[in-house]
Amino acid sequence: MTTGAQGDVLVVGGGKMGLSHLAIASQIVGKSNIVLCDTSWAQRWLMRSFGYRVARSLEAVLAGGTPVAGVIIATPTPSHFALAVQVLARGIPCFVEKPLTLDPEASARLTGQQGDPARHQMGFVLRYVANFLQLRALVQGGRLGPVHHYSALMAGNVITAPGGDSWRTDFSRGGGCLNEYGPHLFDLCRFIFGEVETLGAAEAGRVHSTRADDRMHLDWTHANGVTGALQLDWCDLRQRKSLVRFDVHLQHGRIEADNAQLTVSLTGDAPLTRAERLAMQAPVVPLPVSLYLRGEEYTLQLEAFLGAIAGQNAHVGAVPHNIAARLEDGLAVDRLIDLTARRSGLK
Amino acid sequence: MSFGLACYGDNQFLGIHHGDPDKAARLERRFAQTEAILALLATAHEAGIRDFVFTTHDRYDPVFAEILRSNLFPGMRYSPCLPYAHKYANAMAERGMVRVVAQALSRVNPLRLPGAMIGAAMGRYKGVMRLLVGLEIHACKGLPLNGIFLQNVLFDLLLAMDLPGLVEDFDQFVTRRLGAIPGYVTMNHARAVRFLCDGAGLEKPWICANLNLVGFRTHPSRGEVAESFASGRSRNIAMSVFAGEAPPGALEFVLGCKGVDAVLFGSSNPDNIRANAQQIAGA
Repeated sequence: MTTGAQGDVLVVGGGKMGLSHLAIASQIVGKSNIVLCDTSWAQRWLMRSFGYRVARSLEAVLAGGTPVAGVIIATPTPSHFALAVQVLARGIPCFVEKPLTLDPEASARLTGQQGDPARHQMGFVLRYVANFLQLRALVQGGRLGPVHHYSALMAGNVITAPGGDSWRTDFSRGGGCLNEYGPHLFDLCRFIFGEVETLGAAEAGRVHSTRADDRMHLDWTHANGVTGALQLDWCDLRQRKSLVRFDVHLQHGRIEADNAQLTVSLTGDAPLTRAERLAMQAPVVPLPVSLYLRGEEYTLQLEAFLGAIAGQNAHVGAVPHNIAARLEDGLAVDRLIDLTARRSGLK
Repeated sequence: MSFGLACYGDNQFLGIHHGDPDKAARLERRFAQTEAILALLATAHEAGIRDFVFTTHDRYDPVFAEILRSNLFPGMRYSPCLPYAHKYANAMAERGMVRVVAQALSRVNPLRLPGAMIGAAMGRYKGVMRLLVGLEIHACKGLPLNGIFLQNVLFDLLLAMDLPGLVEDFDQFVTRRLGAIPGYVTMNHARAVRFLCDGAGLEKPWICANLNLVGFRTHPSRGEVAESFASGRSRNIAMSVFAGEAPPGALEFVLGCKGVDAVLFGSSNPDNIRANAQQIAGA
């Protein structure tokens, strides 16, 4: 697939996420159609030696007048607004890593000027994890009856010792557990159970960080009346890599789902056919991708974004329609993050 | 040089279990004990397995020290896969690739740095790559190395960024200087064959990739991966062969595929290690 005459795909930010996006995009639209924008001279020099075109800044490329097919923003969160506003003003499709911004008002300004929402995408990558897609299908399919309550957890071992003076442990710069894990889990909850209406209690905890939260407990109620209890913890030494887990109680059963597995337990009176019961017990296999780099979901979200730009289906398997997160989803999540931060005393 | 038909892997030792995070956490705790790892290596050795394929995790430092000190497991050959990515993941997010590499190189003997850095400044990374490989396999010093693999997190990145020159450098270094088999772990077998053979110009490279009955991480499809294994352009080690909770016929399926030169499996259960080794050896 190529973006061809539409122009180049710009990857802004050459950190871990930017590099991942750049590599995957290289295989989808071709390395020669990618430009990396990074403020670091060393990063630009390295990537140039790897055969990539590079630029000091997004502004420099946009001012140059060369056609731009799309922009992937993968910089630290405080810079998202200033970058995205330039892209949206030119009507260029924009992919923004999560969270959209650190300020819901700024996020609202971005959604207000985006034009066609379907051209832009948020990096809520967990939407593409097969188990969570299956959980959503089961919840929204209704065969297990209405949801009574659920709990959701995201845990990992990002911060394992005191100290460290990077943006990651500074809440005001987009660091902390709420900013790091919150967008992922909050978006998944909205994706599966619908819009959140009321935030209940929210309590922040500290383990190692002094300028940010390390843990967060909260509960909320969705517009459809479903209640959820959420837990975030990025100091969990038991986890080798981040774990996202749901425990959903429905009228006719219970669904436990995490990154790796999904289990359905049915009540004795569940009104299901034998075929439906068997289908629910079948193992969920990750969706196929054109290139696996660090998880199918990372490729799937870029296949969706870059495929939409080129007007083609870039997926190699059957991916549900209309699951890509939009900037409105980013705004909704930013509002929940803001509300949680205020409720828990972080703001 | 080759690998035995059955190779013992190490996911269980590092707390990796693709189907059950809770079991993964239990494994992580259980194998924090050096003795627990040694006990299962002994089982694998007794079962006739002579290749241990592992990731360069600090956890093995005391394991290998004890193997050398006590002359354990005669005839066993060791094949590191590098790097263990999680030790670099957070640093990558906070400081970026250039600083992470620079920090890693700070552990190298300063006398060896200038030549590598001059080369890097001119866009030639052979020297830097050799230093990094040396750092990663340092804990294996004294052990009989059979293969040295690039882990998929790094190899598939090089593949995606289309950097065959770096792979060619790695291949030559491992073959000529370290006297071991260079190997490549990937989740994209068909692409890897084209990249290694057509891009880097390698002859029948060793590739380690998923091949299993349920099609778990056989991208872009199980059929294409099986065809690629059978193409004859590479020598292949099948892994994740029991994906999908070891469905009936899982091993038979893989052993029946063309182009499977070895099977890599991990297990924390001594009975399963013996049974699998026996079944693979009898294929």
